[in-house]
Amino acid sequence: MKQSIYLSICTVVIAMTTFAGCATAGASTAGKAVATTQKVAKQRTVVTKVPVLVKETSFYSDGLVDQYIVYKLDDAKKLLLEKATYDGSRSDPVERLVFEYKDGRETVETVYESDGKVRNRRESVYDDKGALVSERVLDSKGAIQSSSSYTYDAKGRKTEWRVLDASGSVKASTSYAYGKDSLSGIEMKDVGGKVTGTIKLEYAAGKLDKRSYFDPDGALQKYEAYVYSGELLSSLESHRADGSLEAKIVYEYGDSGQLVKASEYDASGALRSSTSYEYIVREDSSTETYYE
Amino acid sequence: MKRIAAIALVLALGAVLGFADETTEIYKVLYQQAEGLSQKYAAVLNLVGLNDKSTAPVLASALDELLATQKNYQASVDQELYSQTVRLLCKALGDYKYEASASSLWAVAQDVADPLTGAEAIMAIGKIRDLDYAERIALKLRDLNLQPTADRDAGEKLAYGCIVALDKLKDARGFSPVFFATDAWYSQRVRQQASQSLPNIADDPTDAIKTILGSETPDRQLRALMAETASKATSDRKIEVAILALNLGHLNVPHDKAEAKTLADLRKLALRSFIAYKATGADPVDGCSSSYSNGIDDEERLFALAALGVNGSDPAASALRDILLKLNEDQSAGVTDETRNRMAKAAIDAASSSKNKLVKPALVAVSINEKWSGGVIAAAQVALKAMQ
Repeated sequence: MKQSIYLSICTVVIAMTTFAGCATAGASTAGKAVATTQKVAKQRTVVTKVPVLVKETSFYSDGLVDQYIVYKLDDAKKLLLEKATYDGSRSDPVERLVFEYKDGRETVETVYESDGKVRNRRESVYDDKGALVSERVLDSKGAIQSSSSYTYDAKGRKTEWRVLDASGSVKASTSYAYGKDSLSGIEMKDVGGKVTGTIKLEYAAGKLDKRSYFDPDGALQKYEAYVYSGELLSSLESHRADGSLEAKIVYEYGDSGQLVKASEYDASGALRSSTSYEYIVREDSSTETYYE
Repeated sequence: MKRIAAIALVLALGAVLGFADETTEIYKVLYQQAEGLSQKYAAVLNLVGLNDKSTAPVLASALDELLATQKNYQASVDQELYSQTVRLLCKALGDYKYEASASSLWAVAQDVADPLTGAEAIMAIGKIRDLDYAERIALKLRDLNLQPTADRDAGEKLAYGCIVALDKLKDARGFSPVFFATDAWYSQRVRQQASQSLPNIADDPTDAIKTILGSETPDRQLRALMAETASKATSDRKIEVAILALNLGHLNVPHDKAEAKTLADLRKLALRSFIAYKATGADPVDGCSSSYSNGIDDEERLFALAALGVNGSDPAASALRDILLKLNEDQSAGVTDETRNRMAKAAIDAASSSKNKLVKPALVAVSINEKWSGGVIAAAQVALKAMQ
């Protein structure tokens, strides 16, 4: 549900090298002089170039612009302050999401309608470790509509998500199970504790490979297959229970590995829509020590 | 580092493209279990906040259910919440381009009293680009354009929705109503949207524009011609409209000075179109000759001469020849002034541009008439030389 500001981390550039100090030592063995040289510690500034998403444009299959989203960032280009959605046919934003932060974490997300009025607001609370522990959704008048609470295991992995109604009664719960390293299953239950569905996640070579959805009786409903090219997701296929393809999204990347285009196709292979992504580059500097 | 980047990507893609996950599944179930309007609203708020296309069938079912039970929500507090819920559903279904929901969205536009909700439904149909509704939306806007609605604000909202939808639908049937919305009774915001959308409605609005030209006031005729010249119609189609506009510009009898000026502007724009799109053949010639003879000012006459020159056809060259010979005859008779001198030079330039030998006798006549200034004679000689 949270929006990511950027999609990739890329180029590392060595911008400067500084001398930090050095030492040499000599030793004598059986009357024969042997000289050894210790490695010299040096420091250098490393500049990491990070593509930061600033605009995404959605197109119809015939190339006509449907809408575009403009991302407004803080001065450091690290925090997303506002996400304004514009319709290709209108000059004013049709929707604006404004984000507020505390200690670097997003705490409030307010949705404004095209007329500037608040539609709803989402408030998030974190624990000392920075894990999201609760969220609540309020309507335009500030009345709570629903809320969520999250629990985590000792490793900091989410184990349960509970959804509560406006009066605070639990309406549904979701539990998360983990395999060796990764999330392996999700089980969803209704207010009475009855299972309403499960999701199974499978991995290959450490990467998410397949996500399958099952009904309460355990029958497969649909699944998504993840296809990679190297480290990057190249396409995502949505399949029906019988294995037939329902839709497919193909991803294209820029030189820095940032997503630049996503194209959605139907089962027949016809383009349904596409989205292009535009970035600016943020340069993060850090100092690292190396030896030579 | 690379691995981290790849993981970040997968997570981000999920957010950007909105794939189904447990969040979607949970809120779907919550909507289906919701009792009462408040719970439905809360569930819809969460569902649409997911930005997940896979929720569209559930949202469409929710919309149908709310449409069928509208009569249960008559209390004013219910009506407001009902409208908000329906509006959220309409917007999301439009955003997700869920074609199967078009009929339900049109039903919202027809049956839900709240105009903002109706407008949202109409805009959603536009986003889906279901052309089956283009005519219905065009007719709705046409009716709204006619006169202010009892509740002006309601009419404005619906008109705005229709304009935005017709912009998206890109169907020529939408051109006329959006054209008339640009100067209808609406507030500036709505009229501006109409002006902004008008060029997007149809690549070739020629047929609609010809209808407008044939039946409207000079002011609208002028705006219609401007819309045609700004459109993506072919040059031939633009010339077709310019010929009609020029003829009407001469035929229409102005009621006052302002209208006379508007008609002159219409004729000048038509003449400029002939020059820009290199109109040839006999059809534009009569209008050009009339503009030369009866034009409101020198500018119109100069445009007419240039258009005849660009035309280059025999009828156009003959008209130029006759104009030059008449100027020459008057000059010989001692009728002379600076304006006529300027016209003569322009006519010589146009004759030269025509590259048609029919103008040659007139150029010869001017070149040997010592009553002309040296500049005019020289221009005629140069033109003659160029034609050889």
